[in-house]
Amino acid sequence: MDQYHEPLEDLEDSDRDIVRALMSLKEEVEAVNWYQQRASATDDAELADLLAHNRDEEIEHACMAIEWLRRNMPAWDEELNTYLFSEAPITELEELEEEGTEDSGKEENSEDLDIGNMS
Amino acid sequence: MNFLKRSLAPITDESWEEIDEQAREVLSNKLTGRKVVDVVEPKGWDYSAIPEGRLEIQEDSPEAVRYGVRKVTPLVETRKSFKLDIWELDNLSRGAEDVDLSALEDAAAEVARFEEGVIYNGLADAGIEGLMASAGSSVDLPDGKSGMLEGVSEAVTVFQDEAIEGPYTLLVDKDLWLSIATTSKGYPLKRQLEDLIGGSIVYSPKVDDPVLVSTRGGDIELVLGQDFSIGYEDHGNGKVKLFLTESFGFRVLEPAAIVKLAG
Repeated sequence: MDQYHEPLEDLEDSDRDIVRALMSLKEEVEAVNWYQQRASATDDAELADLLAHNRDEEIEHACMAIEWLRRNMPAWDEELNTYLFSEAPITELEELEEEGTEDSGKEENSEDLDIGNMS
Repeated sequence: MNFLKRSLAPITDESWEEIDEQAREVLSNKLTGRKVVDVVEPKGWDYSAIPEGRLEIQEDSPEAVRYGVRKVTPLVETRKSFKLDIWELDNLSRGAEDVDLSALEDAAAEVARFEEGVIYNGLADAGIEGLMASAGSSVDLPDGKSGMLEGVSEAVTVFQDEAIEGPYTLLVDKDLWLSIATTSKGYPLKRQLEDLIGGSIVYSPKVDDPVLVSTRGGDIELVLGQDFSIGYEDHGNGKVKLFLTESFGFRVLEPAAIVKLAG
């Protein structure tokens, strides 16, 4: 149980779940790194395709872990809202967010009334 | 800042929430077309036309090179302005629960009416034919209250012959809606019709003749650019001027999914 840095009895159940999600995310990202290198290094085209496919699967798993974290750790939600799906230079996004401007390139329909499909 | 310019309005976040919520309520209540057709997710304010994937070939071209023009369905952009009293809106922050938003409610009802009109009756300027005129076939609707059951049964048969699966939605005007809702000889007529079509009966003021529509999906599309949104125009003399807007296109891909019941 080397993922814990504090005595287990000092942690709430919710903290332990967060540790589980963070460790999963870490492992998925590590796997993405490995598959990326292997896919790039092999001379066998079929193996390269297979490894790239596996790498993309790991990216999907990593994203699922991030989404869980976003739903359970408010700071993830806030930061992902600031940085994801934007177009302005990444280092300027925080400042733009603080200014309350929306030139960060996010989709303009984010402020719609979300009537959508009513069936 | 986007084209809605909401951050420039002298309105608190609380007021914006209430304005959005009230508009949402009226629109959800008035829009019926969206219950019947496929609503394609908003594609953004800069989306201008739905590509049809077809070419209109210019047969009589005097040019040495033959050419065609790509066919598209342009999006319609609507805007309805309305004014609200700033002092009255501020009362929301004071805890008032009966703030007068009637101008907003009227505007929401009008934009909803417009969308309904385009879906059902078309808009020539935009090359939109509308659901009623696009009907692939028509069946007679015999007179009298039992006529409804007969007519709808025949319409369902037409669908079956054309291999158009259900469920089906029956669109009716006010008089017919009242007649269906209040006819109860043994088993209520409304329930009999719903059992027959496997779907629901929807009333819209923009429907003239009753029409049966398959809601299996993939046949009729309302394509949204910007879904209904509220933006800021200007303010002065204690009033803030806002606007309700949306952009959309409408097309019928399979006319056989619509059967008109003509009286």
